[in-house]
Amino acid sequence: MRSLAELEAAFELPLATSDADAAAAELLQASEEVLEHWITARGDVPTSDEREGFRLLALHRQGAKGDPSFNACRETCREIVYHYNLVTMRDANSDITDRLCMLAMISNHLYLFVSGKLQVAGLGEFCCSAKPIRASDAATLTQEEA
Amino acid sequence: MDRLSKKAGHKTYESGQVETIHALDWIKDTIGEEGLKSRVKNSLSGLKIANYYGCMYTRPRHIFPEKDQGPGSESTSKPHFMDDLLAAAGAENVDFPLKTACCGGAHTLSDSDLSTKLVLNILKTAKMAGADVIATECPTCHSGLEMHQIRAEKTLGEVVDIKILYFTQLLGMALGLKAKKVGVHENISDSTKFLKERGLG
Repeated sequence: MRSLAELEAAFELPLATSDADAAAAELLQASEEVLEHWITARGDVPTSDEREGFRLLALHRQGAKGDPSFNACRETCREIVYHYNLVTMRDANSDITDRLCMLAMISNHLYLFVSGKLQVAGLGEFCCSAKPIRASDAATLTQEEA
Repeated sequence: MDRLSKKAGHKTYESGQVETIHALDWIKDTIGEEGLKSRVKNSLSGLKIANYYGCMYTRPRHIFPEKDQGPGSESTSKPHFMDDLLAAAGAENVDFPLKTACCGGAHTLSDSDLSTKLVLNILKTAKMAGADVIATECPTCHSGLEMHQIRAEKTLGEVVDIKILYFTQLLGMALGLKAKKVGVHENISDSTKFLKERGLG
C-alpha cells in the first residue's frame, strides 16, 4: 500500500497516456488504496471481496461499518466505478481523454475526503505541519507535570 | 402569533405538528415541472448548470422513507429534483459526477486548506463537465463554494471561472424577478454581470 502522499500524486492531472485502460486501472487501484488506509487505520484488515464486480465498493462498505458519515463518499466511489467503465468499455474510436480526466478528479475527491476523515479522527498519516509541534508541546508538558 | 399566522394565511402551528419541508420537495410537489414551465417568463435557456446537492440532502437514507420509491420520487443515490426544476425553467443540466460529494464544510475551521482543495476539485470538475453555473440548495455548501473559490484564487493562485447560485435564485429569475430582487448582488461573488449578458437579471 502506497503512502497517502504517493497516492495524491497518482491523481494529479494531466493524464498524458497512450493506454487509457491502464491509466483507468491505476486510478481504480489508487482509489482502493485510499480506502485501505481508512480501514487499516481503524484496525481492520481491508477486504479482498468484491461488490457488483468491484473491490472498491466492497472496501467502501467495509469502511462505512460503524461510521455512517463515511457514506458521504458512497456515490463518489460509485462514480469512480462508473467512469472506469466508461473508459474501459468505450468503443474503439471514441476519444476518452475527458472521461479519464474526470475519473482522476473524482478519485482525487475520494482522496481528499478520506484524508480529511483520517485527520478528524486522528488516524493515520496526513499533512499537518502543526502536529509535530503540538505533540512535542504535549510531551514537554507531561514531563514537567511528572 | 395568531395575528402573524392569519396574515400568512394559515392556522397557528401546534407544538409537535410542524412538518419541515425542503424547498425542493415543496416546489416539486406543489408546482411541479409543468406548473413551472407555464410560469416561466425568462427562460434559463443557454445556461449550463451543474446541480450540486451536497452530502446532507439525502443522508442518512433511513430518515427519508419517501425517497427511492420509484418514478416521481427523489433518489438518494442520484438526486434529480433540482435538475428537474431547473430543466423545466429552460436550463441545460450537465452530467456532474460530484453532485453529492463532500464540500469540506466540516473542515472549514479545523483545516481550511483541505476545504479549499475539496471545493476547488468540485469547481474544476463542474467546469470540466461543461457547466457555467453551479446550482446549490444547501446554505453551508453554497457559502463554502463561494468562500473557497476566492480562497483558492488567493492562496493557490487557481482561478475557476464558474458562477455559484442558489437554485431558488435561478428559479426566481426564470419566473421574472430581477437579479437584485433574488439577492444575487448579496452573494459573495457577484454574478450580476454574467446574468445580464445572458438576458437574466
